[in-house]
Amino acid sequence: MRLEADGPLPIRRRAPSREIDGEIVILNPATGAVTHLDRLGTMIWHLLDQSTTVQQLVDDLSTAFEVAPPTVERDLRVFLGALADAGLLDAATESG
Amino acid sequence: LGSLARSDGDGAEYVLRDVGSSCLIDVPGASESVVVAERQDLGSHLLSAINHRACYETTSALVVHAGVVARGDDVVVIPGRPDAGKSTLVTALVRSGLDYLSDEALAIDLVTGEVIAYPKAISLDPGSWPLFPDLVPEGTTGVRHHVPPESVRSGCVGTTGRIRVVVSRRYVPGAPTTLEPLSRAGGVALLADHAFTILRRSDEALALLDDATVGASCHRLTGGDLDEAVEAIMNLLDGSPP
Repeated sequence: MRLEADGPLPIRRRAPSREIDGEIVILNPATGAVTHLDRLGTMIWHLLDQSTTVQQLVDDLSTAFEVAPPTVERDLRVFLGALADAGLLDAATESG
Repeated sequence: LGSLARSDGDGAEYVLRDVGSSCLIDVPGASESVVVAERQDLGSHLLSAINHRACYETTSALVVHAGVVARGDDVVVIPGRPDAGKSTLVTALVRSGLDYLSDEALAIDLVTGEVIAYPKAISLDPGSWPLFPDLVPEGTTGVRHHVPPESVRSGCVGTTGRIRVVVSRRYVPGAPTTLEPLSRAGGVALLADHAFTILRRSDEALALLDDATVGASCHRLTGGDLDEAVEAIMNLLDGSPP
């Protein structure tokens, strides 16, 4: 997945979901595949609405968890790649 | 078919056809027949086809691929794919005193959220036959042996209950028995992942699974020893820490 540091985050696809104790369970409406995100993943999922840039999120997470920005950015790319593979990100913005 | 039986409509007709040394089963609504290579396996394949239809077409419950046992109203759910060892573990748990609800399907009533029994005959694969020599007559052959639950333990068939424990079991021959906690969301995801008709209900299904598992503990059980797996699940029902 290509991500520009100063570009917007990809948009989460509309999908049936249920949040339980701060963790979300998402159902891919096309395939029936189920994705479960932990609390941090759930927090990021809620931010995938294009109101935040990649750089802003990396900075916020880096500060909150006291982790170096390059490490955060690498982990974020892996996380978003997994969501894209699960078909949960809007195709129109995946290359953004 | 227990709770998944339907009394509406005209029923379904399964046609068995001889084709040389093998047989075919024409399943209602299916585009292809089931091919049965060995005539002795015809009963197993027919039961499997009927079971499949019951699980996919029931309209009053959300059905999840899982073994289900209970102590009183407290239900233990063991979700898993076919051949994951559910029936073997369920048989051992029933023999240890738990009630039998199903070795195949967790049925959650769409209205009440209660678990309802689907106490079909227990289907044991050849790999588990040596574990239960009294249940499988010597000389038995075929792909599966179907055991009436009452022959595992008299009076063992339960009816309803609420989910108290969800256990994802991974059978690893020779591995030590380990139990790790899952969040309830993880448990719900597990059940949703094994639901037969999740796309038919989507939002409603996730809400139902959430409501049905309130207060339940969820775990991942790994190992190769059947007795230790039974003990671990009994301890979970007792509320003992893993």
